Amino acid sequence: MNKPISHLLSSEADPAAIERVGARLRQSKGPVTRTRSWVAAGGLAAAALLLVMMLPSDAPRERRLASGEALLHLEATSRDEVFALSDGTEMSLSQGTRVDRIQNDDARLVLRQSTGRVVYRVAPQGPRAFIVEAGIATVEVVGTEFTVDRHRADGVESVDVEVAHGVVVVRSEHLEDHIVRMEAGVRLHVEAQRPMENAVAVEPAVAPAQSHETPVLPAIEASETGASHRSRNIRTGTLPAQETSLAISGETEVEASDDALLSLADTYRRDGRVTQSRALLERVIAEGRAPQASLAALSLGTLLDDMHEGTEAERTFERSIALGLPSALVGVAWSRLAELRGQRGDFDGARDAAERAVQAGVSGRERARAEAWR
Amino acid sequence: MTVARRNHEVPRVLDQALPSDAELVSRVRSGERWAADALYRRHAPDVLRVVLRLTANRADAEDVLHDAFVRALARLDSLRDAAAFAGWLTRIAIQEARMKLRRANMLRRLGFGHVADATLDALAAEGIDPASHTELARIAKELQRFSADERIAWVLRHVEGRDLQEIADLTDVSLATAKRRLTRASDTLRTHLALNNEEGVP
Repeated sequence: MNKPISHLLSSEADPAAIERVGARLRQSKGPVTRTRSWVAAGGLAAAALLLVMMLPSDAPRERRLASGEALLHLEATSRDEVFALSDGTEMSLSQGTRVDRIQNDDARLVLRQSTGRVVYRVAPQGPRAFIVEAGIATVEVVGTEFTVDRHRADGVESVDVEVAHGVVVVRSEHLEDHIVRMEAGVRLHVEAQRPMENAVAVEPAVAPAQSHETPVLPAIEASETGASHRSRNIRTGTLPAQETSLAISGETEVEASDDALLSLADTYRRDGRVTQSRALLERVIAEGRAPQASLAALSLGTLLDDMHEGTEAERTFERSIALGLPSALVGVAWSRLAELRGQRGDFDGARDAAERAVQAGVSGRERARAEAWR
Repeated sequence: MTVARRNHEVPRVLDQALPSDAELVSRVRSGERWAADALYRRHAPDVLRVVLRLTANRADAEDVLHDAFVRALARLDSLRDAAAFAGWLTRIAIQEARMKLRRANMLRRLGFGHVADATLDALAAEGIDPASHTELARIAKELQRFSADERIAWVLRHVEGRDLQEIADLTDVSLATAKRRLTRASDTLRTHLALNNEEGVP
């Protein structure tokens, strides 16, 4: 597209809008309140979601195959195949393996490995979040080279993950505490039907590779001694469950993961996978970290409302406020509460919520929603 | 006298009778409120048109127009070249629009449908052919995926027809950054439109 498309658009500015704004300006003492509140809350809110969504200024937005073709799905049908992406990432697919793109944008490359074995060599300058969905396990890449082998034997699905360089985080409901951080030289086996407490079998790989040029989160670098100790204990399974949970959850890493979970929940929601989205949001809420937990509750409230689970939605919106929702979003939660309370016949409660929404400076459609119950 | 009207500009015959921007700015600085109103009347249509195309939301665009003027008038003393008022005001408006876009993107990600009631297809000129209208709708849909910065760069270039240097000046970034944002936005749009064609998405 080389020529501007302005000739396709109306050049008329709405005279009524200009009059409205002119009248506001004559009465105005400053910028509209809601804008100010957004400016004030901008840092907090942005930190919550934009952390993983914002693109590094010089990173490419979307990964393509090195050949220039769009990355849609990869399949090794008759023999092993190696696919290279435009950012230098390589994926070696064993015969019979298929990988589909779920999301590919500035912040995330999410792939679904439906079957087979793939060795991933993730380029350091790749997307901030590189996620492989492998059925019963999700592998979130922090490091650079790892293998995911998804297979089924005797009707039992299992996934083996082996890290050659760097660090990955594996999430699965079949893992104790649902999460394990793996460093280079560690192998993990996850099986769908094993009891929770026995599901994890983490062991050193045969030949741990040298870790070089591996982008590791600062928190991990800073706690190298502790990480080694924890890693050793995870391998031998000697840490009690609670301690293991803490050990594999360095503070910085988990904050980043909360944001990644929120992003993934958003992806699922937009894809119509509400159950998965709900599960992720509930996980972030359960972690209780501010402000992500409150944002997750707000998002979950909307999801539940859309699913016509009014009572649960109401409770969740109330919880989002209690969890310390950024002030710029409090009005949104109150306006939703006003509607939900009104719909179940609690008109006093609806009026109170509507009033609070307006006081919080809610705008646009949410303002209209609140005004209907004042 | 026949005077062509463009973008709600004041007819030239009247324009000649009005003071210049520099003079109006000077009068606002000396406390003459009518001059602020005159500046608003003169520049509001163009600013509103731009911010509407940027934000794709009528209420947001009105807020941006309002806040841009409030901030411009409050900071008028910092304007060195009073004759450059129009460009300076547009730059402020784009900064305000950027905040609105970021807010809208975040709300969308939290599951709150942000009403895009002024998308490009909704702003289409009367009488354009159906194919162009459809193309505008497809572009508008893809633009919603963009970050605020990329959307602004793309709209300024491909809708407003601004050149790279103007985009850099209006968004207060280097020429290289403006170029990078524009390239990224254009590549993404091209890719997504092509992908949608492949996948049969309208």
